[in-house]
Amino acid sequence: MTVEAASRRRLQLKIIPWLLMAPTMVGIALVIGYPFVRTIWLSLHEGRGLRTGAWVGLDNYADMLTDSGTQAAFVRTVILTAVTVIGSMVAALLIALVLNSGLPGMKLLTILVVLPWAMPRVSAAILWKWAFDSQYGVVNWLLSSLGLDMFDGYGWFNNGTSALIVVAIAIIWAKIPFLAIAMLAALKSVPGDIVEAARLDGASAFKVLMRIKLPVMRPVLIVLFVLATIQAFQAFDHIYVMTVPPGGPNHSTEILSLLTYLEAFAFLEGGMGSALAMLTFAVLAVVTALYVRLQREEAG
Amino acid sequence: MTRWKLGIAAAMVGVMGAVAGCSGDSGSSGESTLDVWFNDPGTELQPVIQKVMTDFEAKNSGVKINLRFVGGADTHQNYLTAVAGGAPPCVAQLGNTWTPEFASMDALAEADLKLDEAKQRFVGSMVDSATMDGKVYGYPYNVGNRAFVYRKDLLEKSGVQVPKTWDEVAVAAKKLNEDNKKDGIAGFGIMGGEIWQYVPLVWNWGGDIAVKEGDSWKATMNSTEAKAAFDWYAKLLTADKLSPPDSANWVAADGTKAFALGKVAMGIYASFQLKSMLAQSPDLKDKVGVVELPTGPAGNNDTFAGGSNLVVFKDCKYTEDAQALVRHMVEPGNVTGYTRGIGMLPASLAGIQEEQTSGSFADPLFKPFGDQAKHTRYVPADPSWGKVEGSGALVNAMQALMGGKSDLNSTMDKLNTEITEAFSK
Amino acid sequence: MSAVARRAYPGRRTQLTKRYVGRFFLSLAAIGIGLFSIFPFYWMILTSIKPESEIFTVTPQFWTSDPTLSRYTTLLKGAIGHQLLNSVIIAGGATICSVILGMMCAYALSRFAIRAKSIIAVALLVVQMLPSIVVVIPLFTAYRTIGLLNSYTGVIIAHTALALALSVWLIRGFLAGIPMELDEAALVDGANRFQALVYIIFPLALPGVAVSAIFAFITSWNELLLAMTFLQQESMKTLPGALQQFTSQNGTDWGGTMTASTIFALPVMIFFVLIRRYLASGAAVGAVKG
Repeated sequence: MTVEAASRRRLQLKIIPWLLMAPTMVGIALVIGYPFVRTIWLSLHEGRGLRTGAWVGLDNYADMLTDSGTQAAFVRTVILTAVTVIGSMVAALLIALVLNSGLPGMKLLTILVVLPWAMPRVSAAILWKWAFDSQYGVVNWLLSSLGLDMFDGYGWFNNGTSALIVVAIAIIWAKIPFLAIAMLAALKSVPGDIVEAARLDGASAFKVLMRIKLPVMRPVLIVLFVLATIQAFQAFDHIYVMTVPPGGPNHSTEILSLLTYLEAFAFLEGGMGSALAMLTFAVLAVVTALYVRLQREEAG
Repeated sequence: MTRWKLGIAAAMVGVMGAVAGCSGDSGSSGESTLDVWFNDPGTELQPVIQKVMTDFEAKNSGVKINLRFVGGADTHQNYLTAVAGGAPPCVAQLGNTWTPEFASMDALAEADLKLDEAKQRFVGSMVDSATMDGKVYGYPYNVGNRAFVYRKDLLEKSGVQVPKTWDEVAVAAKKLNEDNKKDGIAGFGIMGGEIWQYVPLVWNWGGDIAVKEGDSWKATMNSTEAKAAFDWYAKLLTADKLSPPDSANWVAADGTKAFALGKVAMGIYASFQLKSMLAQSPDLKDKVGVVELPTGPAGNNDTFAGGSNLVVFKDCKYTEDAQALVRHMVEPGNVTGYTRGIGMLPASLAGIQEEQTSGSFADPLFKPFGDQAKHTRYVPADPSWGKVEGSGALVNAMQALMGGKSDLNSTMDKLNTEITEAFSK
Repeated sequence: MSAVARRAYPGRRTQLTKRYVGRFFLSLAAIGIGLFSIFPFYWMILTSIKPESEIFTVTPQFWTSDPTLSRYTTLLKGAIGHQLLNSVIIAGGATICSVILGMMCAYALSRFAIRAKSIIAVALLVVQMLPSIVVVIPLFTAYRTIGLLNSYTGVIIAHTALALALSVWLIRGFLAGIPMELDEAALVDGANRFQALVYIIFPLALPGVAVSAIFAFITSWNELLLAMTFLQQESMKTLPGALQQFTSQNGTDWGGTMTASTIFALPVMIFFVLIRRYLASGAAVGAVKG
């Protein structure tokens, strides 16, 4: 290659990636950029109704961080996120392994696994609420038929803890399909000949999983973990639909996304709502940054 | 030479056309398009509303109506966004609990209706919901209130008279509960998650949710009467166990489900709820009786009236046509097709009268709802009432009491502070 | 077979038993998974065909002897077909845009040395970290000014933005498993970067692309708030908007809700069945060796 061609090539190498990324970056900047900046702006003001009020600096943040209700909601959100992310990731991995096992009927099972994802989220949440209805729900009927009498008429939504358990189950059920399908796709791209070679060498299925499959799937697994965490932290529909009043009984199931919604649209406190949205954003940004750092370090 | 004369003529025509077009304010000359937002009544009833629109278009050539059905949990947000973005509809069927909020935002145009005329034509509590500072901002459209629904057969079996006061209800319910224990039938249908079940009791006990002091509303939920009312209701569950324990977070859907399945002896239900319960269990029709609600210690049986008002938004470019459309929609003949379908009453007194004599409310099961409509009140017409409801403060308070662990005075005091704070914001 | 292997290799009978026992538990797990996944879906369809009096019963009824399709006929006589079409157009548009743009961006991030790589990747995710309600009013005002209200394009753009970040991250994750040697080999063979991307990389990244496509489709299909806000004409309403008609201040028509929900789920399942085969087309290593 001539010197000119080489430097043209280098220039090409510099420009091409930016050209490829441009539409995405511009699009997202336009759609989210202005609202994002405006949210920060609003969070520093008092919002009354739909109008931006007086400048209050960091007062909204101070109020929010010292409010015991917000603190409780924050803790609850973290716990719910951890439970649903870990629960759904583990379940999805197991399901993906089953789907990949070559058992007859796996094509059908794959389709069944996707069903939860195809249903409208709110309708699905309502169906779970019915299932756990204290008097007429399937779950209590099943459990008491199996002899566990304490569940006869048990009010799952009567207290915060059991209500959150039901919500967690519903959320995990809804998250599994996407994670399982993505993991299945990743599993299928594990090179078959390496697995076969290991099997011939006498490695157990478990060893094959840990030493070969999981490491190959690692980049995808990390991405899924981050995405699942971001989504789980903002889970809203299930709490809103399943608890009465949303966040009840008596504030015991309030989570951050619900408080954000209430402040912004029930109380019409645009300033506080924006501050809460920024809190959510900050937490998620930190989490993502940590994951990225983790990925970079491990990759050497 | 002729070419530029033509040019000037064309320009003049253009200018005149532009000026004529700009006079969109009057709207009675030339084309006008009205955006109308209406609560979605379901596929079967949509044609009824569409016909009302096409009838108007037929009588008013030059007016085109753009009908849109809204509904669901995001509706309030849709209205807020539209107003904030400067693009609200011209005419909307706005819930009565939202009307003061939008009126105070200066988003609504004053209706061509004077207050005293309104009070004569429409249900009083509905007019209250559309009035601010003595001016009326909407035409009451439809109204739905609750009445006392009971199982005739169960009351007869236990030899219990139909209760006329709330204290009688408690006594009767206890007996019914005892007699029907093995069938798992609740003596009284408690719904902790449904504020319209127990908040009106505050009125029945002689108290009030809030009183107006000068320009602002001051909450009075910590008055002796309010405390007594809430306490009475909570004790129905905690002390007398008249309903399953988790009825503390039952909403209307749960309460109607229970009654339809035959598991409730007496309760407070709305006309549209009775309609759906009978649809679910047709065999209940012969077993059910309806009367006006019992009275409380203060001697009144006032309850809350839900419903909606037809409003015109200020940002509408064709206010005259919009007002005309509203007047058209409010004519009883144009309302009843809709209200009959959803099990509610028209908000006009004449309309109610008609429904009770020859319409869908002539049936003895439904007539009492019409009578009760005259004994309804509206919540404090403060624009911040939406915040109070939306925050769940009332439900949280009742659930705290029903949990059996919270002290009455501190719970009600806390509730009062929360409401006062919401009002002051 | 080496001596080592012979020691580690159990007798044939034990192996067979192990395999059958393994298969047994696997089948059990498969059945459990199937039931867990399908139950609410089954209940939804069941509710939609149950007569009104059987929707809520004292003990759960898993079957109905009196099914009715009347709710479906009522609904299909209305506007739902049109609303379905609106949803298909918007979801289809959002899917295509997310996949193409996502692919391009993921390729750039994974194959080129850019110093700001991580920052850009994280910045893209910002979209996911803000709730829609925060975005609604500013975007509405902006769309109104530009004239994007009541247009498919406006909603497609918004929905693409929602799904794009995930597409980029997911495809990038799958691209990480495709060795750079393949790119080099293609370039040495005389292809330019674009050809390498389309003919070599894209087919190997297909599983990741397929998953992103399904995600984008379902995200757009489910999205209610932005669609309802930006599409103010009744004729442009999407399916989630149609689902709202069953809930009013007077209570909810559960039978109707479940009927509409079933209609909602069908096109998604069809889309998935069509895309399913692309999930399994991975395994890049052979290409390098060969």
